[in-house]
Amino acid sequence: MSTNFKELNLNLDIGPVTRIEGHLEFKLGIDDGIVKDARASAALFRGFEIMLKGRQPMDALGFVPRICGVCPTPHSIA
Amino acid sequence: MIKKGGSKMANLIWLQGATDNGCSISFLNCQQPVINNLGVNIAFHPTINPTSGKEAIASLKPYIDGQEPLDVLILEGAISQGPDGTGEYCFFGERPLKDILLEFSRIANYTVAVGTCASFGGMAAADPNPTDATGLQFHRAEKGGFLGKDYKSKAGFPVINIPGCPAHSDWIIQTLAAVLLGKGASIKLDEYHRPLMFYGVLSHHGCPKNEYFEYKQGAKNFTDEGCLFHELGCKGPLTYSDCNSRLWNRQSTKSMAGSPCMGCTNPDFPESSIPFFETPKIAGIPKRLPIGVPKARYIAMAGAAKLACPPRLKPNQEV
Repeated sequence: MSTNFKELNLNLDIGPVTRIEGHLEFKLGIDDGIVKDARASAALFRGFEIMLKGRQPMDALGFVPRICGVCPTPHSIA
Repeated sequence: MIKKGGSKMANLIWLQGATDNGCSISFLNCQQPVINNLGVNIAFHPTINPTSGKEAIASLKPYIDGQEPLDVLILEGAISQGPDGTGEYCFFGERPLKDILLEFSRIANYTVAVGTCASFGGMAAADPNPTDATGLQFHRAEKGGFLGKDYKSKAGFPVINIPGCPAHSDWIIQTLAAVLLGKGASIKLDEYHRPLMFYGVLSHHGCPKNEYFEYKQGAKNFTDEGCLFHELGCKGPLTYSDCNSRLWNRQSTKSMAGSPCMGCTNPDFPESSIPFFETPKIAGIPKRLPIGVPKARYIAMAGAAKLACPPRLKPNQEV
């Protein structure tokens, strides 16, 4: 199911969102005090999937913790 | 800590590019000195800023307009230039981060790159560099990067690089202290613009496994006794950083915990450190030898050292 973003009335824009890890933006559609639509976008792409292609599995252990500096260990375990 | 201008406090703006926040977390861990004692106004830091969205962007405007001086600009994370030079892989509000960064770099008294990504491109610029990421004044080991090799901040300084993945909190806060106390000119930089007071010795220096290294007793497997350089890919003798003489969290380092140094302060990290957990060799001799040691001398030294090894240091022996 595709969404036509132009038809959505997104009238509140929160970006950049602070006090989180990484880059995040919200767009909210508020009508009479009620949130009707909400869209979130992660505003950073680094391409770890592309970097890891063709590398040794052990070397991935050096890469994936760097996906997030707050929670590196779960990424290594995954 | 976060106090709005008007006072004589120095203003600091911290921006984040293609980063994992590791350096911010490391920075928030700072102990000597603690940030409160520095008299710095952190005008913006994405991880601790009280405001979001348009309010946050508006709080940056007085600096761009020149109403408030910007004393220190810190960038954490690489600058994504892709796709096709638009920088749209990394947004800050509604604009690509790289455009905002360019504006701030022109008005900052000092520009500091925190972390290997901001310094050299680092992890974000690993092959095949999908987002065309680069460092502030270096692209990997090559001078240039995003701001160009001739860039000087308003105080006449090139970008000060504090690489590390993450950078040690001491490296960040003590560089910052020097800059804020007006001693910026006393910071001596090496060829990669790293302050020599932190990057003047090898990570190998102070490693508790040094005696094993001395007598060429390498560990074959993790958890074995012995040096990690010979088989398990330790980059300690190939990396400038004072990790093992400074310690992390005042108590440990990678090699103390039994994990090889990854060489994360090197300008070519991560490519220069691959494979991470294995030492590539030619005819039994490590391909990359400790910095400044010619191959013939290493071979002669290694042979003699092995012969001289006292029994107490021989690892992997049956007990």
